[in-house]
Amino acid sequence: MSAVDPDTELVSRAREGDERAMERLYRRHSDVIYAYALRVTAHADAAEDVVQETFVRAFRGLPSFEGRSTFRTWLFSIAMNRARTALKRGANRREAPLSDRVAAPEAPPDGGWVRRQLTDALASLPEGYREVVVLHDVLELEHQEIAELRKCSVGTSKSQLHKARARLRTLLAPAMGGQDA
Amino acid sequence: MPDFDDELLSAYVDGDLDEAERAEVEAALAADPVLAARREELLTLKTLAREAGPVTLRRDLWPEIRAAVARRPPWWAAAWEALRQPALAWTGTAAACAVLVLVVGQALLAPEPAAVEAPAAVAKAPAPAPEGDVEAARAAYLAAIQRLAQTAESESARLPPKVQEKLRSSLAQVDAAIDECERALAAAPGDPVGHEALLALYDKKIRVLRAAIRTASEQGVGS
Repeated sequence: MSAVDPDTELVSRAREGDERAMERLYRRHSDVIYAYALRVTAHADAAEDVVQETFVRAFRGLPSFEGRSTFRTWLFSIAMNRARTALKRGANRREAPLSDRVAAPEAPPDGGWVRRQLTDALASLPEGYREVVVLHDVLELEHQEIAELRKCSVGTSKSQLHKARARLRTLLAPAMGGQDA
Repeated sequence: MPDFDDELLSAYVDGDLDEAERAEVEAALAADPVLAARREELLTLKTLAREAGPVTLRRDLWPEIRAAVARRPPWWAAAWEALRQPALAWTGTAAACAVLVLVVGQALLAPEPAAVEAPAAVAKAPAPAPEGDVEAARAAYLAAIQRLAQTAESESARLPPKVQEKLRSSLAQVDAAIDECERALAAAPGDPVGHEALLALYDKKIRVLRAAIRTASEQGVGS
């Protein structure tokens, strides 16, 4: 672990069963885990399930959390597995596109349509590309953390991000008024 | 500009380039309006993606999470106690007796199969294994445990009696937790947290056995 984990004290208390510490950890991280799950699964209900399963597993598994990564990275790693499982579970489920069910927050009228296109374009990316672009461009994680989460090198993470963006550019070219890449 | 490394442009908009690379990209951007347009597209994409980021949960999930965590399964207490004990806690006595530290031979501490490392799940962090991998991981763990246990049994005779006693005690604690967890899983085979805890306990047993073998080897050289 290269950086000091801001959650160390809360994690320590939560390990001893302190529910208030657990709740604070939940309040601190639940929205970002939800944002990840929502963009990856493209289903609000599935994303809520991912959040719930992630925190239950994390809190039950705290005795075995050794602090080799930050608590947030550990949470993301659990959420990634839960989201992958949710995607497998929901592979045959047919629902409306995410943009029809989840409004872009505070989207100004002039940019709203493009954002909705982005939401659907993200949902149509291959799973690996979607993960890396959500982690880096949407949630603004560093490549080092993404590489740790995805068990790849930093170079691979950067390369996959580039390919994911290229795919997004192609998908969004009409919406952005530009040329197809 | 087909010859230009597009990946470099992507890294440029992320601010990931060193000074020389940045200068190279900026020179190319100044000379090529198509490339400059691509940069604008990438920047727009980044801005849109960042703005798509913040979302708020539609409802507070804490009450349900709290209730689920509070409903701790029956194996919880035993697993907790077994996992929280450091694997090397009992090696201090033996280490003090050792004169030299052995560079442990490959045969003695051969690495476990890759499958054992990958699903270390909760124990080794960060990622618990997907359900589909659990059975394969379990088989790999059990094979590794069997192999290490045989080696540990033959090597542990070198350990001082007190250390042998502590080793037996540590293994008994982990085994008891594994038994409880396996019984719980027999009753509720679909409990994913139970599976992860079981894998974590197997991993713990492996670490205890490896510590025993390592310490015994040190004793062998020191004596």
